[in-house]
Amino acid sequence: MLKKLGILLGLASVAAASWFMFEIASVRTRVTEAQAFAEDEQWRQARHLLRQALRWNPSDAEANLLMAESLVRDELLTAPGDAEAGLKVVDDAILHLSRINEGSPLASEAQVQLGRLKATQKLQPGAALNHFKKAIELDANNQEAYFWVWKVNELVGRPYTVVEDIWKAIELAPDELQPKLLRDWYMGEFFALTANAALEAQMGLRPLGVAPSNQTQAEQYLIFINEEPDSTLGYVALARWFLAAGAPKDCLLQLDKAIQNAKEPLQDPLLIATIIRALDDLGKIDEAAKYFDQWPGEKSGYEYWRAKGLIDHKFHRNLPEAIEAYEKAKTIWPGPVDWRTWNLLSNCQRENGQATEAAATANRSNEIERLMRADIQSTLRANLGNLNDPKGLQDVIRFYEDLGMNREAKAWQSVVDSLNSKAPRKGS
Amino acid sequence: MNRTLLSFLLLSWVLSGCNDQKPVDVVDSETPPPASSLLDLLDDSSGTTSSDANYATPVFLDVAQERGIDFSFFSDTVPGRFYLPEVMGGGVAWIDFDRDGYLDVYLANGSYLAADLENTGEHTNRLYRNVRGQFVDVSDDSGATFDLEYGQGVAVGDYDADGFEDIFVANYGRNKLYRNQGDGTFTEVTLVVGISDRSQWSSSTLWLDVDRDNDLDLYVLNYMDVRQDNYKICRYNGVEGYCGPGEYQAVDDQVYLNQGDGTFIESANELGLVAENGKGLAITAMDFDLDLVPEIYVANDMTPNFLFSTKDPFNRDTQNNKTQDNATAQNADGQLYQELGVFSGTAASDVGQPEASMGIASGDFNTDGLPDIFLTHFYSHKNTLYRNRGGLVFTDESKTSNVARTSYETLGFGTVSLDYDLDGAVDLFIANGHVLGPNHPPYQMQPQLLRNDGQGQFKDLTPEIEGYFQGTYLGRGAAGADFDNDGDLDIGVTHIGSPFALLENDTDDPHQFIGFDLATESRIHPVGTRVEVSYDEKTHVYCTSAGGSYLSDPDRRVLIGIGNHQGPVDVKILWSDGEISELADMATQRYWRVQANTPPIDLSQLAE
Repeated sequence: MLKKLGILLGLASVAAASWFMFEIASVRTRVTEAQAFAEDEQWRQARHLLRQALRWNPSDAEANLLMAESLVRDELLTAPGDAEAGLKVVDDAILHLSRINEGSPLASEAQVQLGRLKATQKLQPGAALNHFKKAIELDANNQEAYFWVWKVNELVGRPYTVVEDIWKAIELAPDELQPKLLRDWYMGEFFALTANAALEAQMGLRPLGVAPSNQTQAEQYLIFINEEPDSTLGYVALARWFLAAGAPKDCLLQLDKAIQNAKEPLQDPLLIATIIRALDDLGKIDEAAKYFDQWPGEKSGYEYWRAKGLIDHKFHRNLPEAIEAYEKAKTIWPGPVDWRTWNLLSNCQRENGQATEAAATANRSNEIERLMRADIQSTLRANLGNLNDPKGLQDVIRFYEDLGMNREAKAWQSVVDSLNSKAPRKGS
Repeated sequence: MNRTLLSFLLLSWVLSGCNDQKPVDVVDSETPPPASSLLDLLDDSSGTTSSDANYATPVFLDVAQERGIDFSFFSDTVPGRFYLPEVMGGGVAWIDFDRDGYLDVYLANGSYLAADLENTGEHTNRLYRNVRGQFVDVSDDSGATFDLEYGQGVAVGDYDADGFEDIFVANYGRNKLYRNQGDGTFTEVTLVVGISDRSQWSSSTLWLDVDRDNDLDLYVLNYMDVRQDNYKICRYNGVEGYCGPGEYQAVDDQVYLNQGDGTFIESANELGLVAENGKGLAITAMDFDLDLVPEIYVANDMTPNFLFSTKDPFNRDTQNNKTQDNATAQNADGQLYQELGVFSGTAASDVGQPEASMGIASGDFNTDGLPDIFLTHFYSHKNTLYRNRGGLVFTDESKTSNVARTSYETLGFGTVSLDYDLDGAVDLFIANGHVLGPNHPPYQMQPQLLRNDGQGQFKDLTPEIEGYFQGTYLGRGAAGADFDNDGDLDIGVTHIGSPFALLENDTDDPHQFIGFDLATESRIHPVGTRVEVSYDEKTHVYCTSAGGSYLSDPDRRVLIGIGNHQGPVDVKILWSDGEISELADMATQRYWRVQANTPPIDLSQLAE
């Protein structure tokens, strides 16, 4: 009897094991079939198969990635205007993406998608950037990750803190996409208010039909603060908005909120830089100097050198050091076009008895101001409307050369060279 | 399948399903930093040093009506029209037209701005005669006020050197020059003396001996080309309002050189008193480099300011390979003046931003012997304090002086430098009020009194001052004058929509003063002259000036607070013509009339 029972159990185990192995093997099949449905945008059918696959391998990267996509892209899952249902879908998608472990070849892609959802759906730029940073750690050539680092930083008013990432996004992109990205960068450099108008509208950061304005920009920052109160990004963006509007006390109020609510606020160099600017505006350069002494992380970048220049100039009255710092600041974006910093340098040189240098710097500052004029910019924008016209793009190259921004100039030159090489030769 | 494999598979299945994924969005949780308030760093004691904690609370009483002045500027504001001249207001000028030792007051008035409405005399300028502190309206009999144009700036000067001060009125329209006949009446002589009656928008004006030939010349600032047929209405956050200077073209200023025979020739170009894109609203003349020759400073609205000097310490001509003729102080182009705004650091803010300048006050705010410049600016933009570093080099010290901090929420127009409590430090009065219209709050604003601690640090005392300072107004012109000759500076303030205010300084303080009425043989106010007052082993320097504020002209006497010092003081006057007067043991608590090479006259004796 026992022997018969043992045989039965053994047969059952074998059967179970075989069935199990069959199911495991069929995960790939199911995922492949689900992909086919997804390509036809038959999301429900795709999800049905994916659920089966995930039952047997919940951490299957491909299945989880596809499931997330199908959830987010299936418009039938949520009724129009049903924000709660929409967020539930997003959360489900996030859950799936989170199951993809870092060892998977799809991990970097998953991090990008997580970041996109956190940025565009959850309106959490801080969390999004963490994902993009992770994506880049996993795959240093993930162009889309760099692209989103760029865009999210633009949304919170600090693209110049990630200039190298922006160039990576451009340089890693396919050749045919690079001119468009270079144009995007021009818009970001010189028309920050409207550079991401379409993206902001899609994200619901602005009511439909309302054009971007200073007001909508502030409201956008408030949304980020509400959705992600433990990140400094929204507070600092709004604080700098107040500073630009001539309201330094309101700027400090936002920074106080950041300090109270955000995680590791004093580790954000841009927060420190903004404190310094606001305190300077309010006549508290001595207090600003204390914050400068606490500058977090690497002592580099435009904001660092500009702050150092200001503190050396106005507090320590060490004019040679200040001049050196301002000189460094003006070479790092947005330094080449920040005529205000150029003027601080000019004033410092004048105080230091360097009248000739001061005059030259002031002249250069005036030239930069001239290049920012509306009439010059509108011509450039018109030229950039046609990325296939080498002549128009030559103006763009000249513009960047006049500004001393050689990296942009060279990039555009490559575009023009490429256009010229494709142009039909005369007589052919 | 053997058990080992099955176990492995089961185990794998179990483990793969239960693997705790490391959350990919984890942020290491740490204890948040200790809370600290940045706003707490802005303590209220700014502008007050520990030794300076006790100061006299300012007391200014609006005595206009009580003293006989009942005047409101007619702005011709039409709701919904948004025609810019409506919001600019008019000026106030102090003049002793009858030479009785009491300053009379002249007030510019507006007029109809629409072409189809004619001012037949219901809105004219006003002249009030000061009879020992009480004012009498003598407008109608004076002949100096029947000006039907839209009044802007007023400047007082004895252009014909007959001993009686004349009046120039800058208009939105045709400017007018009124010659003082010496008998209490004036005659309009604009065209007769060669001053253009071209219709334009003139603002502040200045009487000054520009070419140093001992007669008064006239510097007329012109604002912008704004006419009925070209003006615009702007929108701010979707709401209509007045368009600002960015929408209009500048108009060149005019400098009328006195020919010495009672006539003038326009000579701005010949003199070098030209610069591009000037939208001038305020002008002053003062010797900023202590060479006894005044510079001329023009404050422009949203365009770089101008500093004109007869010297070029920056050797720009040398840099341009030109030779400057030092003997005549003419530049290589043969012009007497050069524009040094950018080189001097006074053209724009510390970050090179041209500011919307409305009013100027000058004085040695940090008592280093060098006169500094203060400018009033637009809302959410700081007022500016340029500190004189010597050699016509200035630095923007708005922030470190606390001037910036007191000004982000105001829009300043007329401003007066005064020592309200006679402690020896130069304080500041500011008339504030917005321009965009009542649909864009804040509109009416409080005036301000900024107290100087003597080191060039300012504190806004407005919350501590009762009466006028607790009201809100559309403040415009302002000019200081000791109208009651009691040794402290009072202030006349014009408004839009409120009556003229005469702020009598009634501050109760134990401090002393000494005052000087500087006279010259040529009868022109000796701008460039420097008065040095020594007491208690210290020497304090006061530079004379002309013009200043917005559209207004102040009392030209030098009124010096000497704090707690008791007893006489020593005075040295370095005259702009090179003469030096050294006067020992001058009694205080009185005004002295002083002229080079003549004994000083105690004016308190004359008053008695």
